[in-house]
Amino acid sequence: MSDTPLLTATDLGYAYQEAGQSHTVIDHASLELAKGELVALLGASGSGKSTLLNLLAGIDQADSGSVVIAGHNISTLQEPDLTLFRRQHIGFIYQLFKLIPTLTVFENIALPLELCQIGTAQRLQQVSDWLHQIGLQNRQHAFPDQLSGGEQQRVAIARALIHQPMLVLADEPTGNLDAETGLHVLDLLTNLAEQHQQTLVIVTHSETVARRAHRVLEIHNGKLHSASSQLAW
Amino acid sequence: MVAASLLTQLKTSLRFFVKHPWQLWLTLLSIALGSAVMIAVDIANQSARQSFSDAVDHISGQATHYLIARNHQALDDTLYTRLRVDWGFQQSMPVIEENLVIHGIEYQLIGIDPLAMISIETQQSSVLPREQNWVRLLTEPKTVLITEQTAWQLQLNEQSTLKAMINQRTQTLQVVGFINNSALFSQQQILLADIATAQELTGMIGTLDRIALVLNTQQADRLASLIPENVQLITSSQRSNTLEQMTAAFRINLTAMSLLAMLVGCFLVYNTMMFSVLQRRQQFAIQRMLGFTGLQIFWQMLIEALLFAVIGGISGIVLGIVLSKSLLQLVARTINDVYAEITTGLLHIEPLLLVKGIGLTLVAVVLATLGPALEAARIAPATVHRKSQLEQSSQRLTPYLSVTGVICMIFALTTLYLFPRQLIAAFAALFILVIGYSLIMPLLIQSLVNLCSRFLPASSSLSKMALRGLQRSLSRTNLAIIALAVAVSATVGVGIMTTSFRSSLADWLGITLQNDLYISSSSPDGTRVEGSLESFWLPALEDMPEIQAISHSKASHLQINNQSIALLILQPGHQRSRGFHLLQGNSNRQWLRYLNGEVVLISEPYAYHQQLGVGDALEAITSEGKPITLEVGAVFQDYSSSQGMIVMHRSLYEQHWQDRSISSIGLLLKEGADANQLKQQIQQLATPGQQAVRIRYNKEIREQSLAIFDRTFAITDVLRLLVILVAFVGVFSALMVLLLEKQREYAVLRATGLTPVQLAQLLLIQTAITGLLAGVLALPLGWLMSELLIHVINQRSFGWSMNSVLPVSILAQAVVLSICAALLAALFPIKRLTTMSLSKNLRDL
Repeated sequence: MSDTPLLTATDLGYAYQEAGQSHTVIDHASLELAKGELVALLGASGSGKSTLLNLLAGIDQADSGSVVIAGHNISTLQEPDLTLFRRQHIGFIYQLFKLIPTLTVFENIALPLELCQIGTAQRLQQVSDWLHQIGLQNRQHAFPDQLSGGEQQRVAIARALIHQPMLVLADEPTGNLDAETGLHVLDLLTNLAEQHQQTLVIVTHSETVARRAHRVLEIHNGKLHSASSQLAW
Repeated sequence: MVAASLLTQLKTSLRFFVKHPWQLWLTLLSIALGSAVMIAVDIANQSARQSFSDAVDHISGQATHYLIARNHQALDDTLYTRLRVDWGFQQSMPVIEENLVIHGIEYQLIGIDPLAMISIETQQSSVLPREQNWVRLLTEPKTVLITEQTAWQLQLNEQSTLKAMINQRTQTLQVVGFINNSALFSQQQILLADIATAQELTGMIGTLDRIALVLNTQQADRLASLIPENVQLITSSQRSNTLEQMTAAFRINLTAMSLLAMLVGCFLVYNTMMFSVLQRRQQFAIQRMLGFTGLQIFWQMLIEALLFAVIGGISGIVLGIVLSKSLLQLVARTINDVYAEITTGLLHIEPLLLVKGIGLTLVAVVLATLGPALEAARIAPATVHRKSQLEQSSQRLTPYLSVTGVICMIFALTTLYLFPRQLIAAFAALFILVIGYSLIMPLLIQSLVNLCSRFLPASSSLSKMALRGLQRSLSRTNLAIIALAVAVSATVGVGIMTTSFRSSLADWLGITLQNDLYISSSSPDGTRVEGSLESFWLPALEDMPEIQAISHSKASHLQINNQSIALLILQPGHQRSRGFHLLQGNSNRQWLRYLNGEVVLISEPYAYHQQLGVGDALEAITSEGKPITLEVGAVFQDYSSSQGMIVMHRSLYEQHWQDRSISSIGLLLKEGADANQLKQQIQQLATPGQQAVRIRYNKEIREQSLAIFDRTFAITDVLRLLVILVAFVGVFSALMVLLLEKQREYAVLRATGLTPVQLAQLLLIQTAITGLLAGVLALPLGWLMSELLIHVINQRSFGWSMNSVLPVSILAQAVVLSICAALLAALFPIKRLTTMSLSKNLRDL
């Protein structure tokens, strides 16, 4: 883990309008993430965890504040530069896997490499390696709906990490899996992220996941707190 | 590398449609049908035009000019002798054209002089075979040359005999050889005969249809000064332009109708593509989240659409060619009835026409996909987390769409105002109006659904559930409703126009046909008015006590500004202005001026096309070549010709023309006189073996005219049906996809306790409401279309004005048709949904 922050979010604010009223979701949140750091983000349902992830990735535009990743202020980036930045530097993992149903396991994993314009030979090699690492080399031609939940999430992890993004954002990656499978998937994700020196932010309700983290943050009423001292695990 | 990710994108598209085969096939069918109707109408139009010009043009070789009779009847064949012998024009050839039928197939008999033909044909285009064969045309009676295609088609050889029906008579013809260069006639079905044989077979003894000539400018000037006044020298291009000009409006109307099918097809493509975007919303969001740009998603959609357009367009060509065979019969029949005699001929398929068809299909499909493609490109990566917010966003868009729709409709009306005479502008306005109304429809649908929910009985929970389901999925059902409404509105619009036209025609016939019996000179086969009546008829009829009044007329042509216009020389039997519905100059004074030979009457189409009115002057040429000025006394309603007509009193005609002949007599009988008995008496006056005459009752002419009208509009009815078919496929496709898309939701309902019958009822209620909405919303648009068709497009096309009639039956039929189409389209998806595996669908939740 390096001391230089990979990501610096300063004073982030986000609200939405409903029935003429403004509802604050993120209230002046600031944080720093170091390279190779594993951070767990806790919070009740609807507390703004996923919104914060979206703001960190530039998927949603903050009303105030800024997000700087590896020296790039993504808050000032416009399309398509924002997409190109995300394509290269950020990986996503979701609770409901979000694989492309019409692509095979192999094609889903290869997609970020194609977008990053990696040559065919290298792409084939890398995908094969990753299939091996996630233990799905025999299922490479299967479509997502032919896989179990755990298998789908392993594919999603490979897809998120294969192009070696600096930052990986995982939104309740084990939330849709049984305890045992969840544990396997978590092991895989943390090991691989560690192995590739990637910064990992995991949104979770799980104590097990939080225990693995270097740092735990909690979001409550839109405000972000460091939660390590409050945890009794 | 970009290509690699594009390939992956296309792979996802392909697999999406492979997983949704119904959507794929129905999209392709919508495109293919829309494209087929457009291509079929184009081919039929083109083939009809070719059958008019090609055969004679090929046979006439390098002919530069034609001599024809000014009154558009036959030429005296002594003119040909004078032409060659007295005036020395050796490069000339007489021509007779007539249709004949062999084994139920229509052919064109062309009579020529083989010796003269050699003088005007080129080496390359020589159609005569070796000399021993064509000489037999001159030496043996009833001999013909045929093309190799005809020989193959009728299983004939160079020595065969064949039986042909010409002018209702069966004739036995002897084949004496094949036409050389048969490939020139690949699109026509022709038989070539010597001119004398053609005269004998067609009964045109002593007459010719035209004389083809090869002339330079000086020769043409010299010949123009030599020919009699009743003969006209025209260039070959003028001749081929004649039908072109006459039928232009008719063809534009057909083309517009076919474009309407394409427009409905576009709605359906828009519908399907938008639907596929909605279905893949999550997928596109994931793609965006992974780093695909909006532009990449946009191109993915456009390339998908292009592939659809290419496959649909190619299938459309095949379907279009099949369809055009039937349409050609209808087009040719209308042209024969209304404009000029042509053979039905073979299909004339120009590669350029097919390229145009595919090109238009591509453009239409891509344009229809732009909206869905932009929608797909705008999908934000954040959507990956969210359930569809489509209903809210579509409801937010509704007011903007409505305002745009109103602007479109105002623009359409402005276009009509700014271009008061252009037909193309009128059609453009019609299409903009349809698009404008389509944009307003979502608001109308929303309002109607809200209104329905307010009036539904509280006890009918199933209906309420159906309505709420519809309300929730309006963004998805709107397009299906709009597509069906547009198609049904075309039925309403054209239906009202046809009914109004028929009613105006019947009224006009009632005014025009004031006499009880009509006698006219006839062609030998008795099928058309031709030539003049012999002079004994008028005195003989005047002696008959049953007759109250006799009117008589002569059909001719008049030269005005180097253009030939139909002229009717009319001597009314009574002094009142009965027989004309005068639209301008409707006063006793003007009628008396007509009776005194001071003014002429002009028909409404002529007044419209030439922008003439009462008091205007016409500069005409008399038979002696003297210019005379005719004053327009009144404009009368007339549906007999879209080119227009001038009516001149006999007294005025006789002041300037030597001709004293008449071609028709109208008899008004006294009260109580027996028309049947009188007809028999008149038939006895006609001497057997002499000139053929036709004696017809008022009712007979009226029925024949209305029958021709119905035949003329048969093609419109066919095209209307095709538009409905395109819409039906679209609605079927939309409902199928929509219902199958919601099968998980229905599975929950079934699991909660809804029986299959109740589920079927729920779905039927929903689709019936969909059909009802489309039917009801089609009515205002249909009425607007009919007003445009009646008062703008018909006037600009043909110069005819007519009264609008609003038949309730057509409106009711439209609503019923719409509901039935929707219900029929829903039957199959409902069957699938009610028999679905509950466990499977619940597991997929």
